[in-house]
Amino acid sequence: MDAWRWQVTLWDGTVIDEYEPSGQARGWATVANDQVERIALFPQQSPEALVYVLIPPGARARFWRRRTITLHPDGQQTTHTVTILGWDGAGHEALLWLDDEGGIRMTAGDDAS
Amino acid sequence: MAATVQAQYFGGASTEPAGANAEGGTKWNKEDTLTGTTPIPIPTAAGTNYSWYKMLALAVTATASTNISNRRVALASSATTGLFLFFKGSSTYTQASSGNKPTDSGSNGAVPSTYTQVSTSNQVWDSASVSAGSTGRNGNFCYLVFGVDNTYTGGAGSAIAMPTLNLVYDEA
Repeated sequence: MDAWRWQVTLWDGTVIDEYEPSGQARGWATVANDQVERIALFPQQSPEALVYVLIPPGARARFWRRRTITLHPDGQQTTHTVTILGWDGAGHEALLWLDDEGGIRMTAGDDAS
Repeated sequence: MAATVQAQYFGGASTEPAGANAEGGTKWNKEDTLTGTTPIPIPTAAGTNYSWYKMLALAVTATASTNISNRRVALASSATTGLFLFFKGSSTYTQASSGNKPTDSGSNGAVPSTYTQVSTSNQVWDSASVSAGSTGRNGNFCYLVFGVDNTYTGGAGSAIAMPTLNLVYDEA
């Protein structure tokens, strides 16, 4: 399970959590990303958000996880995840990159790794 | 819930087989296997000799309602002087053989035709978004070829380690 889960609030007040009450996860593709007012990121088992990102009116909310499968020469495989959230629109882009320990970087592009 | 994704090897059959777990490592050899040791000669004069290609791909082993995209490959660190990896993306499975091995070059550090050298920067082999709702191969193959040229001074062997290989993808 990932370290963080997303929750979005739409401009009409609707709140959508990554996990349905049944525990089934939603893909980000189910979110109308041009209708998002803010994205919150929660630790999986916590009711308190780690961070909120406010989406400017007219901008498109963005969220994805960048995963790295590392094939070590000794025959081990490990996976590392970075969670990315933010927005783009009108020629601008702002993204937060969070590692699983809560380290945060901010970029104005999506090519950080 | 995130999809469970594994790096898998595809080979050893004339038509696309089920993938085999590649996390145990890959031998860069001159045969259609994951771990065989048919050697790649070190050039005795200027030149680059190549392995048969290995087809790796991401494979979903536990599904999710997400999509996977932006598949990229990189080395975690620079390879020893004279050793190289090359890659290309392809949607097609073609069994590796002596007939489709990249032709050895008479130049040091030569990149085989249609391939790109794997570097320490992420490079895309398949950007397409594919649902993680089904198990099995997700996206295109990453064809990988090993090369050794005349500048390599490390000596021969069947356990010469290449740097850690990173396969990177986006999931949303």
